[in-house]
Amino acid sequence: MQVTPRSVARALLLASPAVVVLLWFGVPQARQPAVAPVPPAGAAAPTAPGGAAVPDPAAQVAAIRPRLPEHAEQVVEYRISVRLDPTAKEVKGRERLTWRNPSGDAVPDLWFHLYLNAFKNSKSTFFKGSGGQLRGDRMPENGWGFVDIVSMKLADGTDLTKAYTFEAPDDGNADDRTVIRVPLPSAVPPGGSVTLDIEFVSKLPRVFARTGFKDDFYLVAQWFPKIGVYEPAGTRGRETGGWNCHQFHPNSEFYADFGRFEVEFTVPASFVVGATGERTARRENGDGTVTYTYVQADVHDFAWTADPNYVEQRHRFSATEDVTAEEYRQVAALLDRSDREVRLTDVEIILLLHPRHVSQAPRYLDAAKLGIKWFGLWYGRYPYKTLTVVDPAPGAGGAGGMEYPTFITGGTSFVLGQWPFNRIRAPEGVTVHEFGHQFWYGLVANNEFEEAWLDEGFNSYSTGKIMEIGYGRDTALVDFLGLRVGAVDVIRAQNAGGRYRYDTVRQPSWSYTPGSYSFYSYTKPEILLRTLEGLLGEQTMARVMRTYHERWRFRHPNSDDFYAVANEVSGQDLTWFFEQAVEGTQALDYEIASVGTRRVAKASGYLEDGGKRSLVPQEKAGDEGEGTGPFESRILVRRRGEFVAPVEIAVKFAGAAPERVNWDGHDRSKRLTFNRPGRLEWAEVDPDRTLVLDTNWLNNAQRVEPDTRVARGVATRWLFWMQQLVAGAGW
Amino acid sequence: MVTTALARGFSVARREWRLAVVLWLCGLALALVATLPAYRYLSAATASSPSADVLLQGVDVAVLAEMTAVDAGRGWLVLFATVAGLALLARIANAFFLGGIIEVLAGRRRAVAPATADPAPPAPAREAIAGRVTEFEADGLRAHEQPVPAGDLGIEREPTAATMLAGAAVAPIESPLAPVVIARREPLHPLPGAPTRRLEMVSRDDRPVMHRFFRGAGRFFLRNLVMLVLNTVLLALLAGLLFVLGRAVTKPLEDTLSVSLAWLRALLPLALGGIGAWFALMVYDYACVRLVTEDNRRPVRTWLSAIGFTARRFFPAAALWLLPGLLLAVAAVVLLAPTAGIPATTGAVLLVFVVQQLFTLARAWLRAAVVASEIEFAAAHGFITPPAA
Repeated sequence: MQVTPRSVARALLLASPAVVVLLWFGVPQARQPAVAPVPPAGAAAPTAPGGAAVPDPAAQVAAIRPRLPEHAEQVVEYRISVRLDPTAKEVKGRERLTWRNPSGDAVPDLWFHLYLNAFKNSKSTFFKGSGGQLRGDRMPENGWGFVDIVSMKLADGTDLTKAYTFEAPDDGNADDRTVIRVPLPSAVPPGGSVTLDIEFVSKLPRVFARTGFKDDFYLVAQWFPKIGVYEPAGTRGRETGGWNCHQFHPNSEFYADFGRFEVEFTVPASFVVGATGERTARRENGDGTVTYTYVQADVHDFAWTADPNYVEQRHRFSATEDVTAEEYRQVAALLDRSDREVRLTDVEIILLLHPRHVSQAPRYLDAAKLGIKWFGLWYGRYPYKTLTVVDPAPGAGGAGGMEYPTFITGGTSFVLGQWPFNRIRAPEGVTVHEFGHQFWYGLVANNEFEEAWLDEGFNSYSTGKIMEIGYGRDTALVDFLGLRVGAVDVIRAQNAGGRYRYDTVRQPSWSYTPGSYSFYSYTKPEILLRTLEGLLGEQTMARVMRTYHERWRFRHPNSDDFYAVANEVSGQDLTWFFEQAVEGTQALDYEIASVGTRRVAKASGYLEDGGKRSLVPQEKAGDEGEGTGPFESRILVRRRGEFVAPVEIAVKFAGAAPERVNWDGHDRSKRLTFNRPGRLEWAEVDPDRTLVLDTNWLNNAQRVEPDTRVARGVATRWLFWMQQLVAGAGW
Repeated sequence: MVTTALARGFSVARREWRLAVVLWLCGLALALVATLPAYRYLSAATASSPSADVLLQGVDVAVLAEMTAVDAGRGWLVLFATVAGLALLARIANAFFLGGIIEVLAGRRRAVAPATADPAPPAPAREAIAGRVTEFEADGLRAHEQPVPAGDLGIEREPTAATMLAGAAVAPIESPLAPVVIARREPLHPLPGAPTRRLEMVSRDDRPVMHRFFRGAGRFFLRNLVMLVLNTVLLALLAGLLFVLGRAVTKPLEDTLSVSLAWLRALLPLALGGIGAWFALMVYDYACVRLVTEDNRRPVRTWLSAIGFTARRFFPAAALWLLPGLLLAVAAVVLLAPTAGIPATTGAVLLVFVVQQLFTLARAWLRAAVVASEIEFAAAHGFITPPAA
């Protein structure tokens, strides 16, 4: 999904108190969360000594380790030939599609996406849902676009042009034109194939929501009639085979089958171009145009771009120079894989830059290399030979921050190229994120319509960790004039207060409460995966992710498939976690509700000692808290949210090292009482901050004696700025 | 002219250093009003939570967001409302402060006779001086200079500029707003061999600065406020129009391929808007200077005249702000930059506080210098004249 500099900036802004306040007041009251399974009572925190016996994950992984697939099953083959008309802003041409039936069913029809029809008029489901606005970008006036099928024939010449019908499987919108169903004269047998010749015209919209043109800049994406996915029984939990072909919604993205694309497009000779895959031919046509041919297998989409102003740079990611032998060894050990299995391959990086942004080429390049390196090391080598990074023209932000196979769009501004703004890592963040989609949407090709989190969330989790490696844990996103923002800071800020508690992570992307798609498909998944990492440990989590990727590379998993891998590799039944974090709406918030410490009073009253009774007077009121120990310290830990998870509690007494105790978290609260020689200084729940899902870390700890250093320090600076305000306005 | 006005302005500000202290104190008092609620809020939110200690290292967006979430943002709303209220209050107080500032600065009188070497004691009632003399005509409020030989001048001390020209007077000075000696028209009898004297900074108003400041502030507040309201409208219109103009002019550069032109596209509208705002601020300063020094009761007319005056002399008037602005930037770099990385220990917090107050004091003093320079500048161009008797 789109991540643009603007959206990054918005994410940062979300962390600002003002915006948070506004967001808070914009959210209705919480409903009662659903009941969900919880971890077994008495379960210890994962790091607790004496916890439940856990099978050795390494041994399990060794037993079940899959190989990293080299190629996809080729379900589709597209041969497309088109010509760009820069005056009419149209792409005209034809495609020859061969579709192979991957199922055991006889398939009587074909379903296609006509994505560009989302921009056809105000009656489309996309337009109705977006209102012409998407993620801060507004559709330009009269920026309509469409795709028309001029003709559709079977290879034997049977004309299907009049046969197809528009379908609206998601919302029944009879005016939506983004899905068609084409009945076939005869069903495609299991394992059989069908070939169609389709002539089409794509009128490009003014750039908006991932595609279109602005002046001479073209991002030609979602532009051709694209067949849906026929899911055999068993795929993603299906009981029977059938087509999966959703309408184009504002927040939903894509789902398609793997195959081979061979695309030739003709553009004016002055245009610089880039596309999915490798360029295999360039032909001068003698009429002022040039025809380029690009080919790529093992992908499920194709996009291209053209702009006479592009500055093209070609670089190389070297698997031997950009990764050290030590890094290979460390990653292999982390993942319990051989050096050979984690070995990467060289990749040609093609940068297509707007002239204003040429000085930022090193930023794009470094970020792309960072992504190729760490996504590849962790999840499996990038299997393609090229990566094209497109820097959209100024004013074409709607085309920025988008991913297509081997082809991503970034986004920056000339301002971000200058100190101190170059410390805002928007171009880097966008580039790493969009590249990361190659590994999730691209290779582990989940259904983004129905389970967007498997792409966006997994990618956000990965992106955040890689940004931390590349740019520092505390400065992963911003290191600007003293303001330091890390990846976790932003997601914590967005999660603060548990404002989002109405939807589940796993639900169709068009069904979220308006305005919350981003949280449930990006932010919360990133948080829950970081929490899972906290619970399992970094090594086990890395192996879970690696195994999931290996097992589902070039396939179509769903959430259950990930759960299964996580359970299997970790050796734990994590159902309790996924049902709350992914399938449920519970908020997680533990707090230290109160702390207190007092000297244990001496025994008083009539005391017996060796048969003698003596009256020991009570200590005077107020003496209890004074003097030397022992001290009785009481701590009340509370579970404020409905999310149940085992936690650790750390307590610190004067003159002693911190102690830790475990709590299964089942009850709403837990009282802890300690008798120690020293006073209680503080208590803290989840001291290692493993539960990133916690909506408020501020209440995770409490001191016995208040400390106003923060208030004094901040108030001092506040006073200064108030003085400057008075000086500026008053003098 | 600019250099002279600046020199005199800085000289006056140096001698009236107490004015900067008064301004600093006033600012501090107002700022404290907005700081105390902030301190209480921060203390309540962070004192018992070690998780908030990260704020000692700087801004932490996650902690701030969680603080906001805890009370549904009400604490921050209160703080923002406090800041907004303070900004509004400070803006209104501008009409108050500026009257006091000008009263103090314009009330300072001095007489400088050229070709003098040694400072003299405060002027006696009568003094023999020589030099260039500016003669004022009370009725036409016009001044002209004429050489006057050393002679016996009758000296009369006047408390304020407003009454300076009680009677036709001759001030043996270069600037009509800094006369310390008001000479009656008396026959001048040259005294051969009489020493040339320099009359060093004799204030015509011996009352404390605080007294003069608040007297002027209160006396001119409502009249200044009228002009402030008018000027706020002017500022908004001018800045807005020039910004829009800048956007329109640079529209063709929207898709430029050049980084330099892209910067021009981005900055020119802002610069033009800023210049418009700057112009309006100067208009207000000169309007107040005239109104206070003349003690007139025609704020609208005075403000209109200040527009004309400032428009005709925009560049030299703007130049008066440059040196103080530069010095302020230097002060910021010298004083504030080193405090950025200081750890938030108790001692360091105290040190930072002291440094910040020094900066604020310096800022107050530079503002006084700017106003004093503007007074000199206005006087030199005949924009202000003391009222007739």
